[in-house]
Amino acid sequence: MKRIISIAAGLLTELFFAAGTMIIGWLAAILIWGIRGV
Amino acid sequence: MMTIEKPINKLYPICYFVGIIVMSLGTLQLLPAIVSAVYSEWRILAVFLLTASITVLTGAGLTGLGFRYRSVKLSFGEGTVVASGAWFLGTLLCALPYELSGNFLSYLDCCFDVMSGLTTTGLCLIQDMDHLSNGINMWRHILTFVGGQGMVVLALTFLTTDQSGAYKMYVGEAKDEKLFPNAVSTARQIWLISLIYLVVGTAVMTIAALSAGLAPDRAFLHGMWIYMSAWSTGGFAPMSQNILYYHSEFVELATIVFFVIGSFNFALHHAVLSGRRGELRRNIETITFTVTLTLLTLITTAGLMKSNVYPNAVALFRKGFYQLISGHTTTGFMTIYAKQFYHEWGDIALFAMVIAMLLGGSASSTAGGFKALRTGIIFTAFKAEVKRMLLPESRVSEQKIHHIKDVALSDSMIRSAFLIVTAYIVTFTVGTLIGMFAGFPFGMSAFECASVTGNVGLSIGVTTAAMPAYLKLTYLIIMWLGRLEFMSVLTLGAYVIRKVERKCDR
Repeated sequence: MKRIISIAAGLLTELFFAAGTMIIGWLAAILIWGIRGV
Repeated sequence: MMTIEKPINKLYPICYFVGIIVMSLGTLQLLPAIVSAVYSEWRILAVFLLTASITVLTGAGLTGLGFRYRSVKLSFGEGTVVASGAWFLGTLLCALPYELSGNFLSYLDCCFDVMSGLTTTGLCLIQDMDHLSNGINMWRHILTFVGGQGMVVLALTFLTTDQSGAYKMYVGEAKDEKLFPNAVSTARQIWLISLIYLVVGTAVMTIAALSAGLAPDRAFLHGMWIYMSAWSTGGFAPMSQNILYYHSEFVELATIVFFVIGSFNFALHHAVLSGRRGELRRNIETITFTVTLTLLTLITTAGLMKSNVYPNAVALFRKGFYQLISGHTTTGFMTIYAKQFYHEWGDIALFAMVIAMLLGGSASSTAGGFKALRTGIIFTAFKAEVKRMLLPESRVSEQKIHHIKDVALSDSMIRSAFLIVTAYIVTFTVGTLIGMFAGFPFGMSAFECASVTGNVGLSIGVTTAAMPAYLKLTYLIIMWLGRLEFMSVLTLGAYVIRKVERKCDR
């Protein structure tokens, strides 16, 4: 049971980390778009 | 009386292990055969039954040839010859279903697509992709899924418990992380991690495909194939428009998550799934990847903005960032048409894409390219050198990197990183030159060759069935070299030359 919880928690951590990389793309898109607007 | 034993010809144990790997590839052909049977594709079913038999019989023949010598210990060089030899023979045999399916113009095109699948590159020369049988589509995606984990890893997991030479073959396939003290347990752990993700990923991608409007059974198949391709950082998709076909934000975002995870080192997966979750933010590879991705995203976005291609920030993300992260993780999924790179993106964004494709994902993962570990080591070595110059001569400083555990940066690690990166750059340069010789402009040739060298699969429009045969062969060899990280293939070449020389001397 402990091993299953550990694997599930590990899976979620990796999923969140991978999803977090998209923040880089969004920030860059908004930043560069904003600079052009100025 | 003293007797002198005749030295054993190492070709026999090499044949034995190559045979085991080839048999596993033959057995694997039964999976698309089952899919063909379910969808009543009787001709394709017959093709797979025939080719599976040929492949298994070839493997059995080789295994039989070397059976007596199976416990002979292989050297590291011979282990790498097994790995690269199995990849060579495996490619020729796995191309048989393609050849008999009638979806290719030549056997070279079949071999190109198999090598592209096994090396998780994702470029393809297949004809009429939008009307392929489910069996052939299944085979394409199985090749890329197995190639990501490695065919030696597959054979070690399912077909042998034999430890002799296992680690040497495992290293020969460009995987050198030991999750457990022995290579067979490590291979099994790699497959366990991959199969856990296969279940989760297929479920998520099926829901994504359903939300994009596909019928349930088609959504399941597409979901599974797209997931297999994302996890292996492969880039194959069932439709010719690749991910653009779905016109779905859900599909695009879900694939980003899975191919980023797929580009992680298996040792990192093992650490995180075993409870060491902090490893994700401390590991040199994730730090390097995050830094290079951030820099290259800024350059790409600025380049695209300058070219004034996309009308808003959302389009910049869905087109610009998607292709960039797809290239950086060496996946090759696309949400634009190939020609758009050349005609719309401009030089700055294309430059960032080429760098991203060459840098690649993590070592001992399904990804290609230089690998973040080597980029991190080279950067740390430069930092250490600058620091050393500023210190008094009597001071000795030790530089450390964190990869699963703290490791002191040694000269041999730095030398090895520089050697492999140099080999990638030389290969990329030669491939680009050959592309230009075939008549393609520098920009197009460099982009396509970076994609081939890094096992990425993004295309700017060079790779088509109409390109010259010598360019197909060049790309095929570069994919093979890039995936096995040069040494195994070069050792195989040297081994064959030495054998031929000895024969000639007699």
